[in-house]
Amino acid sequence: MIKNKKVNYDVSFVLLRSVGKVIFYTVLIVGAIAMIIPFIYMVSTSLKPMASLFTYPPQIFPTNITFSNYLRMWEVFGIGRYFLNSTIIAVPAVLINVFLSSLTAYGFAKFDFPGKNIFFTILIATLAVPGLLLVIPQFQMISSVHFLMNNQLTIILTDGIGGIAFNAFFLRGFFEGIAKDIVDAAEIDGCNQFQIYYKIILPQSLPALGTLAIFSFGGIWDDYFWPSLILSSQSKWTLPLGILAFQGEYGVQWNLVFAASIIAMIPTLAIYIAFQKYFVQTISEGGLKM
Amino acid sequence: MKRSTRLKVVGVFFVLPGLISYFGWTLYPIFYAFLISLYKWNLNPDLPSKFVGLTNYIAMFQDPVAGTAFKNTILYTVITVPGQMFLGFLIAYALNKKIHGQTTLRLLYYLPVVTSWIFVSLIFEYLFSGYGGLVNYIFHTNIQWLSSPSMAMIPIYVLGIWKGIGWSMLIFLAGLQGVPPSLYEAAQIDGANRWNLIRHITLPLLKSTVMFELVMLTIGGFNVFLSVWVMTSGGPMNSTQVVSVYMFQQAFDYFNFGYGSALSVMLFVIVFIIAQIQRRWLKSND
Repeated sequence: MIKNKKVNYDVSFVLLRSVGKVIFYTVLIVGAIAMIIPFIYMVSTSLKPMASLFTYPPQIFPTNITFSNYLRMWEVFGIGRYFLNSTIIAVPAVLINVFLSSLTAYGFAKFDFPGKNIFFTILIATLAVPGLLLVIPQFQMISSVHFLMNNQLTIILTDGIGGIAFNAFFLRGFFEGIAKDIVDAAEIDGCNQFQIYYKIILPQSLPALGTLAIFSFGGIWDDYFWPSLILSSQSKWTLPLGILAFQGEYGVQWNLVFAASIIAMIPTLAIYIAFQKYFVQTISEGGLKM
Repeated sequence: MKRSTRLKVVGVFFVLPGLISYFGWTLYPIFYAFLISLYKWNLNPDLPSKFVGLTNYIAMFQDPVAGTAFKNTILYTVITVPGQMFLGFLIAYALNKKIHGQTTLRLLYYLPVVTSWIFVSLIFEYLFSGYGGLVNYIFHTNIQWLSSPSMAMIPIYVLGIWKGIGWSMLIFLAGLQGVPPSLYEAAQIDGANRWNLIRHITLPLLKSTVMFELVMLTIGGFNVFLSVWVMTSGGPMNSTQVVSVYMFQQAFDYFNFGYGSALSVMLFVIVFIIAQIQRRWLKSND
């Protein structure tokens, strides 16, 4: 009798555990579906002809599939131009941003100089400043120089020097973590400080720099607010400006809007998926402490 | 030159370019914004700007739209920040274990984070459209989400939480990796249940992570802009007006730069005070 009871208990315990597991997985998977349904619906809408847009019930998986929306956005709307503009701006801006941030972070991590602690405290204190506060004065500064208005170079430079405070704060932790004897050995070998930074520190920090570059790229590629103030000619617009203007004009043609949006989203998604294994590693090693 | 002096000079050279651009492009504009907010400001340097003292601030307190904008911005932060942190923590906790499809699930949850606010806002505008929108279809409702003043903030909240869960999850995952598994084992032997483990071991060890998330997400919440701009532009009848959108409209549609600056300074003051309180509060909880 007793023996039987024990077996029963074990069975129900195992059962309970597997029921728990089933619930656990179900919740995780339902959550994940809620995360991707909007994207699936976006892709499927971009493949629908106009006539299928307003059917009821809405089609999550379209019965008629067409690629003509993409072709139309490319040929008639000229999304290639916006794509090119976004690239021309984002690539140099990211390079400037990462280079400048890493120089600053390394200076703070490795060297002692007068006022170092005060400067770093000021950097940290202004992390809480909303970007909103800066827009009007920054626009005033740019708009008083005629050459800088309606000029893509302005966006490259301003995006390139933006966000230094956060980036320096983010990178400093990694640079401090690099073993001191590697640096000392290089110094004995006759490297000067800039060579040490360039030949040893940067290669050692590639995952951190890569993560920063991806964050920086995402922010610059997607920025709408600032370029919309500076770039007045349509021929200089970036993807967000072009697509929002198109949506404002042809709002209900969601199939076309989403075809354009997907073209614009591809670079960020591709970069993220290619480098995703670095993220958790980088962030857990970094100094995310305030 | 002595070695230590030489190193100091080199150090200054390393930080100089970054500091110059920071002072010129961040610190100076902060003070400049305060200054502009005291003027009836004219962008054109040839036309005089008139000093008006605190007039813009007084006008702000008498402006019912500004009141709605601040109320909505604060509500948005109060609703979306705990939402993101709670769900982000749950998912991070679940995905911290070795389970099947761990990487794929992490990737799926993180997907909204890496997509631009503009495009996810466009998707949500479509999902929440009144006629034939997917949300109304799935829940068998017939709500004019974005065109009814009492409902229009809801899609904006949902989007804010949906987009931020992945980020919150990622930061919590990073924090959870620093919790040694041996601690759990010891507590389990002592007979602690799962809730006790979370409450007394995991969360205290994650304090700096929680603090970082709270501060960053609060700043982000107060800066809410593109989702409102794309989905409602602050309408219908200013019911979804938030500070950033209202500032943008005042400054760049009506050229009230002084008033726009006053709005942004006010927002900055609120964020700054809240960030200080959060820091104190979390530090005192040791």
